[in-house]
Formats: sequence, structure tokens, C-alpha cells
Amino acid sequence: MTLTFLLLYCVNENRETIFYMLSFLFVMFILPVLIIAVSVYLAHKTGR
Amino acid sequence: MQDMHQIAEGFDSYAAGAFIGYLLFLIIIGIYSNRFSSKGISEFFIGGRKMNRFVVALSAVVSGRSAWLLLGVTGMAYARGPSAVWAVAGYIVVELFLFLYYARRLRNFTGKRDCITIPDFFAERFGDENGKLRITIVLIFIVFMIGYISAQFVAGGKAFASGFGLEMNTGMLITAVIVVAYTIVGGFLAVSLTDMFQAILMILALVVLPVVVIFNFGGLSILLEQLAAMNVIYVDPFAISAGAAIGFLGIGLGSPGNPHILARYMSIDDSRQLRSAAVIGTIWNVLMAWGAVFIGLAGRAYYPDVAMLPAADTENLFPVLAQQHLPPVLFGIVLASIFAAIMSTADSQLLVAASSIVRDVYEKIIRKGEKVDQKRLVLYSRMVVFIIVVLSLLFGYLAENLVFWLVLFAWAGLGAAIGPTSILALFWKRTTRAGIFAGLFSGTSVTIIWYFIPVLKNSLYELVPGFIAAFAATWLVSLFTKPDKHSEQAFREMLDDH
Repeated sequence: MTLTFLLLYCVNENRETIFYMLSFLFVMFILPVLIIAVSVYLAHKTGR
Repeated sequence: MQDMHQIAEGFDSYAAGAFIGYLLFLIIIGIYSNRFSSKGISEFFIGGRKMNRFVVALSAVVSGRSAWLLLGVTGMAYARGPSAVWAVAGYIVVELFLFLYYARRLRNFTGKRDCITIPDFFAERFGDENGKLRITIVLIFIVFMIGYISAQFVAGGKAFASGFGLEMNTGMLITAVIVVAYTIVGGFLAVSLTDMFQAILMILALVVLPVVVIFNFGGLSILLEQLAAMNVIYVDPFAISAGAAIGFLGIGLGSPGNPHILARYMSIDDSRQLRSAAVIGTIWNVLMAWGAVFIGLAGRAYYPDVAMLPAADTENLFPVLAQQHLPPVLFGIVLASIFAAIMSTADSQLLVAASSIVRDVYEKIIRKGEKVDQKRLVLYSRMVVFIIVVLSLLFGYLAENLVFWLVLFAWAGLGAAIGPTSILALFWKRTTRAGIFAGLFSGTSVTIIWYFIPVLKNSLYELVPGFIAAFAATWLVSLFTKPDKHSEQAFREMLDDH
């Protein structure tokens, strides 16, 4: 849904909003997944 | 208060049933834990170091959060958009590192030296023969903890007032009676098990509610479109000044200094289990925190003006959204989750404050060198828990302003005083007892002074400079004082997992 929204903005003239939407996508969806992935990696690494 | 009754009106018999069921369950856990917790003060205060990784992980993350996450962070995200995420990201990352590195050393050392409290740990680590270091830390704990516990009861009173339309004082009393009942009866085991149950309630509320409200709005893309049209800050996570961002991320520096969180690390059955506890705790922290931010964002789209919220208070966003979008039973669970957040923090702080008095003051200073009967110590512990609750309630009734003044400093003051000193005590062999005194003093004083100078306070959250000052003072004074001859042995014990 967010991707659809981003694509819509890409073809629209309001391009500066794309920057905000990409940062929103990164901080609200990718960052939490990254934090969990790092926790799994470090937990595995400290166990060796 | 009339506005607050808007929330109370949504509370029907189904919601009441769910809420009362939750309270009864807490009491049942207390009774179930009674036999185990009555064996001795190690069992009463840190569960005899027999807690498993799930209990430790969930208990550590929820006892550190309080109602600030449910009401404060949702309100913050409502007011300033997704940049509120930086207020939660800091502590999540810090707690991940605490679980993986700090907690292992703390658990190994305290297990081998039979330390039950954080003052116990410092006293053993630095050979505190005359008890001055121990009593200094106990004093810092007691001052901040009573204010902290009192603030939880006041928050409970407010939640009862908005959720049920009760008088605030009555709400405070009910909150205190429930917490004291299961804490006195079941000790640490009851507190940890109820924390685990409360963690499940909190995650239910924080994951289900944003999904439902965003779905009801028409989906995430429509919500974002609406927010972007209102003001671009509501979709820009970087709409934040550098000082505010550092201050937000700096909130996490409080975690290594708050003893109710550290006691959880000391209670795990095997330090090697802390690795999986780190992953479980991080997943829980991330889901709860991001859920709270999404609730705030959705709230802004539903209520574009703060005057549309009950009492025009952003902290009412969470219950009012739940009342309007969830079926009654789920609304009851959401209300229970607010109490869960409050109680899971209050009960843990209560045990830490009581353990400082019974273990550190009575057993280790007043009855130093004597063999004290464990059953008697447990009895005294229960009495002290009760007395602290009464004092905290009185404090809350009579000096509500003072309570909030103290609680402002509790997270930052404890974080700045205990955080850097405990980190250096665990990771730097050269740390000395004099260095610890310097760190405790400078951390607490810089935090308080910074807060009272408006120019400084407005530029940066006081915990950050307090933490840096304590770290620097401990390091510098340690460099110029005689090294501790027992450090080598202490570090061997910290690194030995068996």
C-alpha cells in the first residue's frame, strides 16, 4: 500500500513529498526489522 | 473531569468483566508464588536466580516502560509525528547491549558473590568494608524510588478516573492495594510472572489497536496522504532538531542505572540464556514502541485538533481511540494494559526499594556479621513493602507536585549516577571505589543543576550531560587513586559463565 502510494507520488508533480515518504518507509518499517535482525546476529555471534 | 467521562462511558459490563478478570488473575499469581518466595530473601527479591529467559526478557522490558509508553509516547507521536520514534529507538538499542554484554557480567558476579541488590554488587566489587558506598547508593535509590512508586500510583489514580469515572484518590488506593497484595504475597516470582502476563496484554493493545484504527481509516496510504496534507512533519521522521534527537536517543542511557531493570538480569537461571532473552526482549520492545508511534499518527488523522481529545490532553488519545474502535472486551483489555504498564513498573520498584532497606541497611549494616534467620528477613521484607506503599500513597496524596518533580529526575538521576559507574565497574578493571563516589556525586548533581538552568534544559535532556559527567569523573578519579587489588579476581568471576 505504501509502495503504491509512493509510486503515485512519483508520477505526480509533488515530488518533494517522496523524500518524506521514503524516510517514513525506512524509519517506520525497515529500521525496526533491522534492529531485530541485529539482535539475532549479535546473540548468535556472542554465543560462538 | 466531565470530558474524561467520555472514556468511562464506553466501559460496559463486558469491558468490566475483562478488566476484573485481569485483576483476579494477578492475585492468583501472587498466591501461586507465595510458597517459593517465602523460602528466603534471595527468593523474595530476585526469585532465587531461577527465572527463565522468557520471564526475564519480558519482565525487564515492561518494568522499564511504565505508562509513559502507552500514554506519553502515543501523545508525543500525535504532537510531533514519526520523529517520536527516536524517543524509543535509543532505549531499545541500549537494552539490547545490556542483555548481551552488561547483564552477563552482572549475573555471573552477583551469582558467585551471593549479591541480591545493586548496592550489594558495588559493595562486593569494591570491598566496601565500612558500608559507606553501600549506604550512599541506598540513599540515592530510596529518594528516587519513593517518588517513582508514588508517581505510578498517581498515574493509576488518573487512569481509574478516566476509565471508570472514579475519584482520583480512590483510584490511587485501588492501584496500591492490588500491587501490594500480589507483591507481599508472592515476592519477585509473582512480580515477574505478572510482568510477563502484563507484557502480553501491552503488546496485544499496542499491536491490535493501530492495525484496527488504520484499517478503519481506509488503510495506511490514505492515512499518510491525509497526514502529509495536514503538515509534512506528520510524515517526516527527521523533523527534529539535533539537540532534541540526541536528548531522545539519550533516554536509553537511563536503562543501565535503573535498579528495577538490573534486578531482572540478576535473576536469570543461567547467564548464557541472556542471549535469547536479548532477542525476545528486543522483539517485544520494538513491537510495543512502534505500535505506540503508529497509534499517535493515526490519532492525529482522527483528531486533527487537540481540543477534540478529552480534556484536550494528548495522553487521553490511547484510551479514547480504543473506546471508539474496539469491541467492549478488547476495550477492557486495553484499559487493563494501561494498568499493566503502571503496575509492572510499580511492583518492580517496590521490591528494589524494600530490598535496599532489608538487605543493605538491616542485614548488611545493622546486623553486620550476624546470622539472620531467612524466614524472619522475608517477614521484614513484607512489612517494609507495606510501609513503602503507605509512604508512597501519602506522598502522592499530600505532595503530588513534589512527586512529579522527583519522578522527572528518577529516570535521569538514577541513569546518570548508577549507569556509568556500573558500566565502568563491570568493564574497566582500573575503576576504584573513590572513582565510584565521584561518579555518583557528579551524575546526580549535574542532572539536577542542568535541569534548573533553562538555557541548558531547553538545549539537551539532562540525562545526557549527567551521564557524560559521571563517566568522566569516575574515570579521572580512578586514574589518580590506588587501584583495587581484588579487580583481577572480580573480572575472572564476571567472565566465568559456570
